[in-house]
Amino acid sequence: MSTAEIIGRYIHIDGNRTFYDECGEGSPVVCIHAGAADARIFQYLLPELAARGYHGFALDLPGHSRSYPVDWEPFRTINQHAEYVFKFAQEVCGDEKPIVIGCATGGTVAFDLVANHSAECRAIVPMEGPAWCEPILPFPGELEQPSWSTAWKPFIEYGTIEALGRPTRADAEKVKEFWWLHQNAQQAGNGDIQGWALHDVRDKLDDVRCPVLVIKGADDFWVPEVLSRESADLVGEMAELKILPDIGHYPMFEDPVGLANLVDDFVKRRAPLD
Amino acid sequence: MDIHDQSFRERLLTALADDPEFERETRWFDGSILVGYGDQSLWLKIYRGKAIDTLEFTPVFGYTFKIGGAPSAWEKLGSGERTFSDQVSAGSRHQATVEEMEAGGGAFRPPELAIEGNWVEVGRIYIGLIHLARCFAGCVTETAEVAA
Repeated sequence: MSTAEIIGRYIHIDGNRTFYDECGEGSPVVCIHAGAADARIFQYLLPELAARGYHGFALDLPGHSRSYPVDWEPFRTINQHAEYVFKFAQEVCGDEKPIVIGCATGGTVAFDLVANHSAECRAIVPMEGPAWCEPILPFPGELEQPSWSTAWKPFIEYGTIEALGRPTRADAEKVKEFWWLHQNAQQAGNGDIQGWALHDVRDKLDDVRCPVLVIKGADDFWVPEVLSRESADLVGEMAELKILPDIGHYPMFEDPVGLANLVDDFVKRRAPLD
Repeated sequence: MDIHDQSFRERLLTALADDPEFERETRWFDGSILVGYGDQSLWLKIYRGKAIDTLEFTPVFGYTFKIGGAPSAWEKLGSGERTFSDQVSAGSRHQATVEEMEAGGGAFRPPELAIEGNWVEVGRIYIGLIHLARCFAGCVTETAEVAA
């Protein structure tokens, strides 16, 4: 399958027009994109999941690209995103429990779902998004408006490009493509990172009900390995940790085949259908 | 390493002149950037996409903004061990334990390369600054290799 098989659709979540990409048939997988990006960041993973028998959904989070912001305000907490994604999953997956994959900001959204909705998910895969992020970056609320910070936009563009793993960063065409995947409203992307900086679900991980695969790219400088490792430890026996060599902050863009195999293997081992 | 040395300055000016992205991004910048390397600093006048002058001192009218850090911070950038975004961002990301992160200020641990001055101008030519920093770090690496 190729990216040409992906179908774009709209749905209303609490009356808010929301875009999503859809691909394949089978067990539902909901994909949550990184901060300041959109669903296109999963365009190479969705066909790979479809080829393995999954029905992939990747939404644009509210305020990003083709999805309207709720009440014309960006979300500024990870929990706001998580509850929205959960409602989206209930709408598109029906009675089936979704497998959830999130990356970076989407990884923290996935970890929020681990904390608050694990019984309603089949498996959750937080990538580059630990259980808490406080040490990583200062809270960026004072940079939210373009008039407050002319540096925010290029900071996000290059903070994402430079967080790719070394092999992908050496590919000029992939770098150019990735730059174009991060052209979004400053307020929306900044709200994502505000949420990232405040995100902390460490005290809600003592009763996780679904398997959790914590993924960390070895080349990613934004997320320290120790935070990924301790996050998996907090979840306990329900969690596995996978460190990916030569991969940075965006495994689904950098190695979609490898990630699809990893998720497929994890789901079949830890969350088989009855 | 002496960044005031004429050969270093010429190496840097050549590197900037050979970088089309630097020229494009600074096309409408008319200002000066002070580059700090440990205790040393080099003042650069940038106009219409070109570095047109260097001074080993800061003139009385100052500079538009400054970027500076320890020699080791530039060396990590030059070798590729660290990226520009990593080096200029506050936060604790390279510690082995959570305790070490918190002891250093957590999210407020200062960046290895600090940017100070007019941040509106920094933002306007941020990509040009990335290229300037990479050129400077590359010259540090090359100069060290020549000396060895």
